[in-house]
Amino acid sequence: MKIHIDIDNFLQTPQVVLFGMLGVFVALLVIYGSILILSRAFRKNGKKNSDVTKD
Amino acid sequence: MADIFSNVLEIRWEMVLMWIIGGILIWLAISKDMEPTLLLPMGFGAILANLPTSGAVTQIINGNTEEGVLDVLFNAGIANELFPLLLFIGIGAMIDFGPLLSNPKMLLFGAAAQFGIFFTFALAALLGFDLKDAASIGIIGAADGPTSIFVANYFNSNYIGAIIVAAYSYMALVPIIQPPVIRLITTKKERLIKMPYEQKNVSTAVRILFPIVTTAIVGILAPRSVALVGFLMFGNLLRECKVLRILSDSAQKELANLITILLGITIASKMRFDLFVKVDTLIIILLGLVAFVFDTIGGVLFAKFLNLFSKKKINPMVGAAGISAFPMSSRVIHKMGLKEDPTNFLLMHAAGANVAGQIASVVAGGVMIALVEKLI
Repeated sequence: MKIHIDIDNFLQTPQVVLFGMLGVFVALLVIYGSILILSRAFRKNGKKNSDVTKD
Repeated sequence: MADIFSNVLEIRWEMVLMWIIGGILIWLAISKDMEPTLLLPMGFGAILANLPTSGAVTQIINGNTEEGVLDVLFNAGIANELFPLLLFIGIGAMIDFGPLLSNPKMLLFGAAAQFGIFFTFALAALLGFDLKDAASIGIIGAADGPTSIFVANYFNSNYIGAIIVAAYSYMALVPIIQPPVIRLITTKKERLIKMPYEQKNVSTAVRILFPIVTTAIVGILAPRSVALVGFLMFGNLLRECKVLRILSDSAQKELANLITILLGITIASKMRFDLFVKVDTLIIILLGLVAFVFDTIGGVLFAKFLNLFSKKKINPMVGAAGISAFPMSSRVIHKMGLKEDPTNFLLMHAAGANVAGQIASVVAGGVMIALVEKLI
C-alpha cells in the first residue's frame, strides 16, 4: 500500500470515533450500575459469606 | 551437490532482515524480559518462516501446494479465533476483579482509556489505510493481545503480523511509554493527590454474579464482543466459584501456557518477509505507539475532567491505568505515585482501573467491529 493522505477515507471515521467511545462508555456505565445493584442486594449476605478484597 | 546448495541461492536480503528481527525479538524476550512468553516464540517463528522455501509455511512447489505446519496452525487456531478465545479463559481466571468491585467508579477510566483506539483508527484512515485495516491498526490501542488478534483476524487484515508484534511490544514497553506522557499532561500538584483506599468486603455472591451479569450486558449491548468477554468471564467464574479450583488453576497455568506457546509461533506465519518487510509495517508500529500514547492521554484527561465536579479529587495518573495492559500499567502508576510522595499508595485504585480496561478493551473491539462493518 502506498501511504497517502486520504481525506475521503478520513471523513468516514468521525462517526465511528464518536459512537465508538459513546458505546464503550454506555456499556461500562451499565456494568457500573449492575455492580452497584449487586453490591446492595448482597450486602447482608456479604457479612456471612464474604472475603476481603485481596491485592 | 548443486541441488543440495540450490536453496542457498534462494536467500534474499528481506529474509536476512527477518532473521535479524526474529533475533531482536528473542533478545528482547531473554535479555530484557519483555513479554518473553510471546516475543520468544514469535522471534523463533519469524526465523523459521523466513528460511528459503521453508517447509514450515505453505509453499507452491512445481505447481503443487505443500501445506506448512504454521499455516495449518494459523487456520486451525487463529483464523477461526480459537486461540485468542481460549487464552481469554486463562486470563479471566488470573484476574481478581475485587479492586474494581470495591470501587466500580474505576470502570469509567477503563472506558476513557480506549480513546487511543479510535484516535488511531481515524489517523490510519487519514494515512490511506482502508477502514478494515485502520480498525485493525487502531485496536493495537486495546493493549490486549487476544483482542488485537481477534479484531485484525475478523477483518482479515494483511497486517496481522505487524499488528501483533506492535501490540505485544508496546505492552511490554508500558513502563517506558506512560510515565513521560503522564508527566507532560499533569502538574506536580495533581500527581501528589492522595486517594485513601477504603477496603470493602465484596461478597462471594457479587464475585460470582459479576462475570455472569457482565457477559449478559456486553452480549446485549455489543454482541460482537460476546465471545471475547464471555470466555474472559467464564475463566473468572471458574476462579470465583471456589468449587473448581483445579480447573481454575489449569486455566491459569496449563491452558494459558499451551495456547501462548502455539499463539506466538503461529503468528509468525504472518511474519513472512513478503508480508512484513514493507514501509507499511513501520507506519503500523508508529501508529501503535500513537494508540498507547492517546489511551494514556484519554484516561488522564478524563480524570482531570471528573475532578472539575468531584469533591473527592482523583489522582489523574490513575486514569492512565485504564489501559488494558494488566498488571503492568497499575504497577507503573503505583510506582509513579510513590516517586512523587512515598506515602501515596495508588495501587488498588490503579488495579481497579486496570481490570476495568480489560473489560473496556474487549467492548471497544466489539463496538469497532460493529461500526466499521456498517461502513464497508
